[in-house]
Amino acid sequence: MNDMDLTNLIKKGDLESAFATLIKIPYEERRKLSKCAIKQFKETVEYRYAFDMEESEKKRLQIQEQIATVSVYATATLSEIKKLGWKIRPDYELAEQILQIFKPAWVNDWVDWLLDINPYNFELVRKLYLSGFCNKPENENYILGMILRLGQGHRQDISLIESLRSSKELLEEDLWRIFCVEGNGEYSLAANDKYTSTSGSWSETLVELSNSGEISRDRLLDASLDALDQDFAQFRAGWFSRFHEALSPTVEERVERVHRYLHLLGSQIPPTVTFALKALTAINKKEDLPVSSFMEHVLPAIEARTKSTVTLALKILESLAKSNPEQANELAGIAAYGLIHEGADVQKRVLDMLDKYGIPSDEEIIRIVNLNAQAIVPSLKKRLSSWVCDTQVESRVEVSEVSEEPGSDLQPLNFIVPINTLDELIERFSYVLENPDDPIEIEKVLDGIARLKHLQTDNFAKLVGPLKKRATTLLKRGPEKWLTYNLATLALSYVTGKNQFVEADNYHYSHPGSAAIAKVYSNHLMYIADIIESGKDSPLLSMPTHGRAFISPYELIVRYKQLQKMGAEPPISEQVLSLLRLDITEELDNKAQLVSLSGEFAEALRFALGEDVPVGNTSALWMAAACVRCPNTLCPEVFERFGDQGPNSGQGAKYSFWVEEKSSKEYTWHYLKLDCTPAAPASIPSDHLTVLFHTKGESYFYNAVCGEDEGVVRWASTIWPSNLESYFYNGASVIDITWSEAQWHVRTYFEPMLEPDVPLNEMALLLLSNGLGAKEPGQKGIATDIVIMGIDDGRLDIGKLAECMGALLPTGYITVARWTKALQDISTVSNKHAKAVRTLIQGMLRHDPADSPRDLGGLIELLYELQVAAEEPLSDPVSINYLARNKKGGKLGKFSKRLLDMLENES
Amino acid sequence: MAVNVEHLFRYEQHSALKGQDGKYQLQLASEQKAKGVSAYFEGDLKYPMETARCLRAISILVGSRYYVPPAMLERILREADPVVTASRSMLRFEGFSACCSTYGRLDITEDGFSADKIVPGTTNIDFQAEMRASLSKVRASSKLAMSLRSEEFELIHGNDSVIERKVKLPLRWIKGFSEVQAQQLDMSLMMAVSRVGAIRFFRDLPRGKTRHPAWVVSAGQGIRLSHREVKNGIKVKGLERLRVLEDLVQLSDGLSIYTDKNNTLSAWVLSIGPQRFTLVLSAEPWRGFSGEGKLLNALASTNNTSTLAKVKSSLKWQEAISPDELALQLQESQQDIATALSLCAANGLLGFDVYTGKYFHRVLPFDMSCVEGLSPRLKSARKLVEGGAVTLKTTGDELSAEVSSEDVVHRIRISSEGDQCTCPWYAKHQGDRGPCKHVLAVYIVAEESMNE
Repeated sequence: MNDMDLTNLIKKGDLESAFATLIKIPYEERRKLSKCAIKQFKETVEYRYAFDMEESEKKRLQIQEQIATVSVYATATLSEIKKLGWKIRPDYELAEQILQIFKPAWVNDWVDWLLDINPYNFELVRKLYLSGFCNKPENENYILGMILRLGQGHRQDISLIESLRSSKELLEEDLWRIFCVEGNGEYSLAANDKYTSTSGSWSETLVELSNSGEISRDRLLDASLDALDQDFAQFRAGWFSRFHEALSPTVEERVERVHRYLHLLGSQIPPTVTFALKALTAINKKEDLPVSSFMEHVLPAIEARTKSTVTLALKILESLAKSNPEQANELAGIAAYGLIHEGADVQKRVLDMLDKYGIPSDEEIIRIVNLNAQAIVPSLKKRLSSWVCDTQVESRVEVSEVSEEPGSDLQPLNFIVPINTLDELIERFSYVLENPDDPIEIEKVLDGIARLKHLQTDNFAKLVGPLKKRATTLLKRGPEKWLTYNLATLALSYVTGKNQFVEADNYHYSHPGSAAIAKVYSNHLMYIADIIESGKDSPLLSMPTHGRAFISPYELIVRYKQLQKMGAEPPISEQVLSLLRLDITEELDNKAQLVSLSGEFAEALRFALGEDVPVGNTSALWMAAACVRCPNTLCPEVFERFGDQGPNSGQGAKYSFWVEEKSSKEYTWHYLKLDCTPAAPASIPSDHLTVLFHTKGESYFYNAVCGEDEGVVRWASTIWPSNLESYFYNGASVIDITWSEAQWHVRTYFEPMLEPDVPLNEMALLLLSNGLGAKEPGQKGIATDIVIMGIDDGRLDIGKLAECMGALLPTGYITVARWTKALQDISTVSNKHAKAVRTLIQGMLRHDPADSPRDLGGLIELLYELQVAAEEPLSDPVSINYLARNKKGGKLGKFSKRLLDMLENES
Repeated sequence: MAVNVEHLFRYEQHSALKGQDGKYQLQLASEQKAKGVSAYFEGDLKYPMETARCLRAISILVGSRYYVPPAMLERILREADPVVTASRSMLRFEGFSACCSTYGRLDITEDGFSADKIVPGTTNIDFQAEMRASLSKVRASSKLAMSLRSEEFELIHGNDSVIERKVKLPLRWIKGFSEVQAQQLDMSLMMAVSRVGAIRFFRDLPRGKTRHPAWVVSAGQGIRLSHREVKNGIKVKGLERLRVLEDLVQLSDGLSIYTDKNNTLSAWVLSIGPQRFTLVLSAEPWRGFSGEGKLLNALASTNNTSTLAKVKSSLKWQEAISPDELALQLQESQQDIATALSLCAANGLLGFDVYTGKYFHRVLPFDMSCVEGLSPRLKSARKLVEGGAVTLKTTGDELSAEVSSEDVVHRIRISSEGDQCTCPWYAKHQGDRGPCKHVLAVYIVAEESMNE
């Protein structure tokens, strides 16, 4: 037989005759046909993906596929078969025929492979095993497949218990292997039982079989404990501890296994430790645990992270100390390790035990207490004093000598040195193409391109060869990285001397460039491309001169004069950008320079710098000048001339926020809502830059203003550097503190607050309050750092932050525990920070105590610890009144009372 | 395209933890390398739980992939085995993550074991998941004896008792494993934290993966993470890689943190009685150590052959090799010795202990002959040189050159302030990840012309 014959055999569609023909050919001869068989198989399976095929045609191709499958199995080696993947898996009837007729030697390896590619092949493999075609696989996936396929979720015709009862082998052998197999992220006992009905779960079924005496209860109890000792992942280990408890072991049964439970105290899976402690607690209620063994094993539980675990362990220690007075001191010594836990109530429990059972002169206890003394909360420090030797307290962070004092952090960029040589320009352009994160660096490149045309010589094409090549490569990658794509277009414009934005596709006008500010940035880059095409040197009016993109008025005047001399007029948006970047804190010594300027831009510049000048016709210019001249307030001259053009258009923007609640039967959601007055117009001209920050999102995309490209969001902060409130307003609008979806770019909104000259006003504080309560560590971390910095450099008005956080506190929007953790971190930095946190928490307590959120207790506990550490009672009458009016119990009630007691004790 | 080196892990039997009722025998199966050596170590471990947990951590690290490139989702690398080095008074277990971004080592000093037999040598040890699971049974009160041996055997086909695993080790994995050693040389101690401070720090680490870098800074009596750049803060990206230490920190006496001059790599050392666990993190989870390229200049140079030979012949399973002392001993300049030691490390002949600041001799049990040959940047640089692509322009204090490469001409400037090139690699990394192929090519040509 040759390849053609085999092809014809497959096309003929007669399965029986195919088997008959192929078996007659000697194996060595058949092998020669394997390539053809594989090719035919690959071609025939394609029909599976055709949706509009007629039924008769489909049936014909199905038979051809079966014959092609048979041909592959008859001719190919196992490794060739494996390469075809899951598609070559035959159904049982076909597999039976293949194995019966061709009797391949690799059948055991083949079934192993079937299980490897998918545990769901268990049924096929089991049938083959029961028919005697293969050995029972040792493969773990055989057991995983059994768990899945016999589990209730996949079989409607027969229940799990019936399946197990139907086979002695399943019940006596295979069943016990489920305790030795962990499974994986997709398949496991835990996953199976979680996603199937309780009545058909493995746990329920095994309990039933045990209750009916069909399987050994003792063996089940031991097997589940064996499984817990196997280092299975937490989620999967959980099934075995739950199952063990589902068997409801009697105390006697537990006593028999006391050493197994003790052993599990050393497990690295926290819930397994808790499970073992609960079992030991149950034993301890009936009869004494073996004290020495318990002490030998309990340490990992005492040092656990979970509070409930430590508390359970301490309870048993207390009970044993009570009933074994001769070993009470030793037990107290073990309990002393619990001081490492940060919970004040845990530490108190440890100290209670030390005071009651510990011998103060015991060197071992003193050693342990001193080892952990650094962790003790302020309110318990006095109690600890009898155990602590100052010389022994280990509380060090040795920082290497190169370290500097706090506050010596990296200084922000100050004066910007423009690019002055062609080499530097090419090198920096290449740099920003790869690293478009720093908007100032990009501005320097734009300025260099605009000014340094005259440095281009005959070898320019050779010099920019690498840049051209790289830009071309980046453009081929498409606009997914929006800023890189636009910079690459500019690079191509630069090396060719032609505005390539015209020729480039329109991606820079569509997503993700559909955001209002991205469009402004795009126009900014396209203006540079226009300058390139003009072939003339030109100063860039909007090029920043110093930190955060400010422009010195002197420099702006010089540039404008140059432009006038050239007879050039930059687009209005460029003029607006340069006005908004104006640093009006820098006073002009010689105002005569201004007088020599002419034109509407010059008039607007004069107006921005505080001169009385009649307002001209170009609204964008005068609105920008008004924003700089009187930020956040009404500028009567401009407002009268142009009327209401939206927020920050000659009238300030007033922001407000509130929390909206939505509920279903089971859940409640809270949304932060923001608004500003005056409202933004429906259509905002593209050169009204300050108003654009208030664009209402019509776009499908999450943020229609700054977009989701970090480079664009960063550049947005350089548009109006003297007033970032509208920028922070956008940040607060887009932040999702629950991190329901990844929004990595949102962290960028926080970055300007790290600059020591950025004021922390209302919207900055709102963004900070959100950040402190954010789930994503990056957002929470940067907000924490900003608060630490703000307290250090005095920028942060604690009263205002307290007002903002206080407004959010009772709404349910914030997870208060996250605030508590962040504030605790801040308070550890220095006494100054601790004091600020105390003031902050007190300032937040302005709502009706009846509306307090449920997890406020932790925050009040922090306040209490800080007050104790400072040895000062509360001083704020409003918060004292708040605590006095609180009627809630729990932690909130407990620490409210303690704080009030401090006041009383003081008086 | 990834280049792989096939390695056959061959053991006579699987490693196993045998015994019960708190008395265990840890039988580590080693590959047989040196003829006649059947046992590297036999003895008792004095801190059973601590050692068992640390070995478990090494095993977890070896099987970890902190970054999975999208194209590799479908073919996850099979894990390699840890490497153990026995010397006269030290046992060292080394592991390297599958993603090549994290290196871990357990050092057991002589106070941590009592040896009946110890033979200097380096070998792979079989370390399967079952072994890892059984190690979690060892408790503080257990007795733990350990043997590290490989009976002499001849491979007989069909012999079921021989365990063979063919693993394709990516070149960057082998290179990273070896190059991470010399890269620790310029690390210095930045912070030493008490046990309590360390426990608090690890408990406060974010649970999920983070994308942005963080800086470890001192805060009051402990340390904390800052999310803004702070001078002298230790920069870390891929915090999830530190999780492997979380289970060990409670056993420790304290934590020491080191970083290099560029603040890109960091080393975390937990002191656990007479044992130390060192974890070295690369700059980012998706960046290995081989990509740092710090050794490329040394590899490209041909001037130190005799020093290298002297250094190689002086290696005798020392536990501590001080570059300064070796320079005195061999009568060579410190610079030449430093370069030669770096090259030896890159060839898998030396490990580096950042805690003591000294190298130690061991021989990585992989085929290291291809390390130099397969360094893609060096290979490309040599190709450029062979193709006559390099034109030196000037000499003197500043060397400039032009390198023709793929239809463009790159300009290179080499000066005391640093090297510069007009290629995208330089533009992206600004020299932080070693020289680009063009700069390397210029170095080779310049050295050749000087030698002439």
